Amino acid sequence: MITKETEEKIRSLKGKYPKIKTCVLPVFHILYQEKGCVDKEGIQKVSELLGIPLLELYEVLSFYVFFPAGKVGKYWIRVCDNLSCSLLGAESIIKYLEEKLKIRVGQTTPDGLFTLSTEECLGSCGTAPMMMVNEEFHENLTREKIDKLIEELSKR
Amino acid sequence: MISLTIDNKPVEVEEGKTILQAAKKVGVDIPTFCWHEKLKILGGCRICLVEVEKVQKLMIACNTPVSQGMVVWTNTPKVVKARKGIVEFLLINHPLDCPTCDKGGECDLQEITFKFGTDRSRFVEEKRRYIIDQSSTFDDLKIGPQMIRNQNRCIYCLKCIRFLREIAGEYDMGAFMRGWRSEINILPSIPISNVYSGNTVEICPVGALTAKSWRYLIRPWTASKVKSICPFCGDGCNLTLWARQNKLFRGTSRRNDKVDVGFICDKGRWGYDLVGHPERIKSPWIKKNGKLVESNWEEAYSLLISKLIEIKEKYSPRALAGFGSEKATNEDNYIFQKFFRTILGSNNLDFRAGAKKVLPSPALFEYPQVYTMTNSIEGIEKAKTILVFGSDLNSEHPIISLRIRKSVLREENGASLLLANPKKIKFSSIAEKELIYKSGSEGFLINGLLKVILDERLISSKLSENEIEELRQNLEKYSLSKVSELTGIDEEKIKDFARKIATSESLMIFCGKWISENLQAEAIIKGLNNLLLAVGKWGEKNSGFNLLWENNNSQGALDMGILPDRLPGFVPVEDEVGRERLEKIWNSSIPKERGLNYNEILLGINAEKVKGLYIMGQDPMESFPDREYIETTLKKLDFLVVQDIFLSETAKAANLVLPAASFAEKEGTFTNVERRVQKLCRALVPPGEAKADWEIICELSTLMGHKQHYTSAFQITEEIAQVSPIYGGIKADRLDDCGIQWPCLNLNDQGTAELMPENFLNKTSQLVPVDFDEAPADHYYPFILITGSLAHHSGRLTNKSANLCGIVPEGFCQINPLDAGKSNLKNGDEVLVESSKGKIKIKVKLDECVNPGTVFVPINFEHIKVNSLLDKDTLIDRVKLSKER
Amino acid sequence: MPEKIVFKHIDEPDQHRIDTYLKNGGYKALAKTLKELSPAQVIDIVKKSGLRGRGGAGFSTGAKWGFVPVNSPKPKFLICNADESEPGTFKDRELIEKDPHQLIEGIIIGSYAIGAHISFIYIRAEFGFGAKRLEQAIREAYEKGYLGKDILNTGYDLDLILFRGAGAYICGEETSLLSSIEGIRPLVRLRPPYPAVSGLYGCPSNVNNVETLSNVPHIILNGAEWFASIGTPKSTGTKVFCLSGQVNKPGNYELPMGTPLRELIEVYGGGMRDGKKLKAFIPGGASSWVMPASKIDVKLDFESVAEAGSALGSGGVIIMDEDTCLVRATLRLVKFYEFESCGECTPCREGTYWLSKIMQRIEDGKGRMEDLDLLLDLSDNIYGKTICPLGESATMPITSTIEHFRQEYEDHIKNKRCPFEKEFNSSRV
Repeated sequence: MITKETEEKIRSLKGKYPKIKTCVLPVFHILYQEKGCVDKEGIQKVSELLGIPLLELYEVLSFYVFFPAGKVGKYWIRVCDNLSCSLLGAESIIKYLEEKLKIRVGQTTPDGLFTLSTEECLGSCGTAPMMMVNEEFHENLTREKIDKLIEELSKR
Repeated sequence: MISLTIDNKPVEVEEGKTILQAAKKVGVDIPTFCWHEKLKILGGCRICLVEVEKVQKLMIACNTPVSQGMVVWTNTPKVVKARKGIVEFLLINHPLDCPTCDKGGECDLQEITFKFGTDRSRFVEEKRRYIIDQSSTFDDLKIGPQMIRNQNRCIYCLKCIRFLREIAGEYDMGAFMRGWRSEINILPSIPISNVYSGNTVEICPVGALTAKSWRYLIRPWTASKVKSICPFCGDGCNLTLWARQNKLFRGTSRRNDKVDVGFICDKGRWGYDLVGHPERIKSPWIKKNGKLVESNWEEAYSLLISKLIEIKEKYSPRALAGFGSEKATNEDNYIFQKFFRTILGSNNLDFRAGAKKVLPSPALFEYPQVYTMTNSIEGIEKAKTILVFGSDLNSEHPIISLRIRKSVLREENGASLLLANPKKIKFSSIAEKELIYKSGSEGFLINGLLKVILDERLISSKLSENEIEELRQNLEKYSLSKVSELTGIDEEKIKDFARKIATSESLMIFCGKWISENLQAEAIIKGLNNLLLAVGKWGEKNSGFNLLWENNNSQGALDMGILPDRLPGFVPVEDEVGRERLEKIWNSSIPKERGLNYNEILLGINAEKVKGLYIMGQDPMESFPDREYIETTLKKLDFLVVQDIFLSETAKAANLVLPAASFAEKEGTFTNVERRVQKLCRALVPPGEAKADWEIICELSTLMGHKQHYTSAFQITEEIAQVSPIYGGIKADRLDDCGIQWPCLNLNDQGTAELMPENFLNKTSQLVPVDFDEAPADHYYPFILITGSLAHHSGRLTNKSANLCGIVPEGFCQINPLDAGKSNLKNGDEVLVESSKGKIKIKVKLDECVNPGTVFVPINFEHIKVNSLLDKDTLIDRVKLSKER
Repeated sequence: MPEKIVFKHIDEPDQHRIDTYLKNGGYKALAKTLKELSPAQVIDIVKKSGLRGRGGAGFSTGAKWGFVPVNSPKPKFLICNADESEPGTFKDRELIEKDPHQLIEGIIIGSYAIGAHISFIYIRAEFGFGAKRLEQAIREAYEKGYLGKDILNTGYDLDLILFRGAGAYICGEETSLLSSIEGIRPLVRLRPPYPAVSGLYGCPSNVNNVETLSNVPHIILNGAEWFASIGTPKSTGTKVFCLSGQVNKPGNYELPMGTPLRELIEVYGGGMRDGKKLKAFIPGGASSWVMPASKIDVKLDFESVAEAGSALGSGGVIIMDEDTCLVRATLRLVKFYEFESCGECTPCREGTYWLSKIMQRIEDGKGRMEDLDLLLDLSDNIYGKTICPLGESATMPITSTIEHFRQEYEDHIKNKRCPFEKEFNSSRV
């Protein structure tokens, strides 16, 4: 459901930028924040509210990788596995998370709590290995740190 | 000018041109994939890389501007390697399924690989596949009724998407994902439906987009390509017909920059199949004992001659009347009227079946009675303000619409688009201002606009005080509040619109069917010319009034004198000098008095004054705006002969039906809305015993004792040139290039793009105030009914095209969601639409393009007899809706 | 310790708040600019300072500003490129998170110089924390009158819009970034026309990196000569080097241009991890050529690194020790470029697909000797044939590792398997 509040947020973008289409990414961010994904319902609403053809919205959306198109876990774990992180053990981290959460990369735990995926460089190579949980960075990862974090998140 | 050399060849081009353009000038072949002359440069395919001396990197020829003294090489080892590299890259993921690819033989990838590629591949990896069906090489996805996508073959030139966005403004197909995962696609379950979609198939350089109708039927190189002209709307797009063994396989564009710039609409592209429709009539049919039975020409001619002579002798020549055709060629129509005037001795001629009341015949040329385009299609690009008044232009004239769009969206000072229509049209999205008036209030709106212009002292200083004073007095009756009430438009909006018109730098007005077929057409057109005069734009450059006739040769039928009071070239029948000149050429007398026009002929039949009617290429039963009336009228005839390509509703009512040749089966000329005479060639032999209209009438004439000497249609074209001064310089062999716009007085005349005051006899025009009738209200029938064409269905023949019916299979009734809500109607509900004349059952389509209180039903669908709701005598048609259970 | 410029106050806890920033001399350069300098003078100072773009291309910032036509009737835009996504680069994130006002001040000065009244910060989607910091800083700057109408009563207006990306490396390429803001598919645009003439919305625009703009206030305050006296004659000032990989103390180090790599590793990076030997390094972010250990004495400035056969790029220095499989490292980078290719031009779209398939085969032990020549030839067919440098970047690790470490490839092929541990340094964590 798109709440009235979200709708208002979307509408308020009109006129904020020199041209209406510039709203496209900001509006996706709004949807992501509100719903945790940018799905069909949301896009349809955006198309209506901002008068941008649905197809154009999908064209743009499909180019990017930041927004999930459908439901992901409450905590979306994205582990950087680019070179710098890999040099310092990112691949072991991923394997460890797979074992710990009993899912493979790209999957969500049955309780809907965690989704695990890999990510290209997140600009945190000096504190590798690292991962992003929702929008939060967790750096200089070790197995112990992961244990602690997962435990904490599971309790929340 | 910039001088440079390309492969040692010196070339001079204007500053700002690219290496590619310079190379084309000296005939140096640089391959391209993503480059298209009419599209913005993408520069993505990289196949046009060339070496420029003193530049380290190779440069793409398509986007590198020339510079003085530049030395360009297109065949150095470096260039050759790069090209081979690009071809190799393009082929790694390409399925190389040429044997089963429809594009074979006209594929740029094939061609360029053949010329510049290598014959071996170093790629041993797995190819990208978009649909995994290992048992088939056909990874096809149907993305529209006529469109098939095979993404494996796509080389990402994006021409399809670029065309749709840049030229057509359509958003039903797009590019998704990124990198090698990119794909061209539609949104799930929203098939591509825009009326320009077929162009993407044509410009696709590979077999990624193909058309269902042409697939796997024949190889292109085995077809003969015949130059033709589109037989649907009046835009006159140039077509190539692809024929083999007397069958048409497809229609493609044949670029004419004056008209279509190489892009045609899907109606023209895919509607060709009506020619091969199984219901084409192949021999004459004669009604015996109330039933039509197949016959032969001999019997048909003898019956026809005996009936014509019988009526002529028993009553008078004026008991005979003829309806010419907006679809047939100039030559057909010319011969038709000549036959009527000279051999039968009757001026009872007309062709305008769609109008409630026909316009008075135009004079050559006195404003405001110029019912044509005074501007040219190409000239639209220079427009500053464009007013579309009473036309669903996007549906009626899809290609002229592209030109208007281009003018509106041009980078520097795009034209302002103003719309005034009884419903929203596609252009609404790019219009600067739009008024939606209640159908029937057109005249009040015009006078309201004039009143604002007058009251706000925006009126042209070119007008005389007398004219202004007369106008002032006339407009006293038109208070803005009354205009607002009748039109349903806010006063402020009318004011705003009027100001925009008055302050425009130049003004082109376009009118269509909602005006030409209006009961008050004459007054509305006068009113619009008054508007031009009032703002001082009459006779100015890039300004003018344009009436866009609907059909491919409506203009030609007018020009050929399918009119009761005008001989070919608009010479008045009563004009003794003009008539005598023709009598000499024709070596025959011509009746001196004007004949009956369309409405009068029908009245004449009812008054039992007209007894015999010869209808050539027309179906009034479907198109006359009062079905009951036309039906009962035609029944009263002693003899009705219909000459057509199908057994139309009218033909079914005839005593004699003659089989005619379609546009693809004959030669001749059509004259489009901008007065351009264009030539079509014969692609097929007519089916069975069908013949070209002109041939039938010539044979008939000969049998009636007037031997006809024509052996080809183009001989008739020559006679037309002799007879009609405005066609004076038009000869078939001059039309090969891009056609000629009349007036074209002699063989040295290149024709006239824009009609200017010097082209008119009176050279000036005067503002003559006009009055309009109010449409009466009727509470029993609460909705105003408007009718019109759809982009895929215009003209009476499109429903014979299986291809087009596959795209838009059935008619519907558009109704505003507010009204629908009140009547508890949902999309797809069956509804009974009822007027005082009749009723039809039809599906409802909720659409905000119609205002509350108005419904729209498209014409030209076989199963919906929309004209059975219409009343020829009322200004507007009113209906009520009830839900069908 | 050598003098720091953009990192001078980086470790102060509240540097991201405007009060601390002001206390440390913030927005003085802005006041000086608006009150004492004409736009042309600002451009001149920046030109004279020798400041070069820190995003990777190293083009003169002053010259780039100078390309914006002064007399164009169209609005002009300055866009800060904070789409830091170059593997091995993480300096902009720190500058944004810890000293956002320094960046904002630089943006205002740059906008004033080119005549822009609307400015954007294009920050990559994943920098959520940075975006929050910037949002707060922008709000503070508006409140204090450094942004908005009539800044510091000088009549100069500027609106600054924070714009978040959506996860696409290509958007760091300036024309793609512009399309991303415009809300259309961010394919790379052809040049000409250059963004300075026809950029955002077809208007004159300038796209500058975070580190570049962060330097600007200091140049204005301390003068062009001061800045030019730091570093080397052609690569002036300092550079934030992002040290990552197998060193003891990875992190950002702001050092004068021309600092030798050896010094970066041994003095600042605390030497190699576990006492391992250096095998190879990437000097300028993933989009530069891999260099062998023998080049450890290369000086880190634009000219010296180029001379040594690579590029200084964004200053992302990735260190690889003797246990690193370079085929695998290269494969990882090629896969990155394959994933991030926008798909617009043939050599990049198809080439990265092909290269990555071949590299994967070799790493999987299914390589053929002829694949090495094929890789080099394909790289040649990509390099210099693409619209933007992304495709070229994919060839860099390939051609350089084949040049310097051909033996490693041959070992993979001959032994039909990767001679290294299957994973990078898995024992570490």
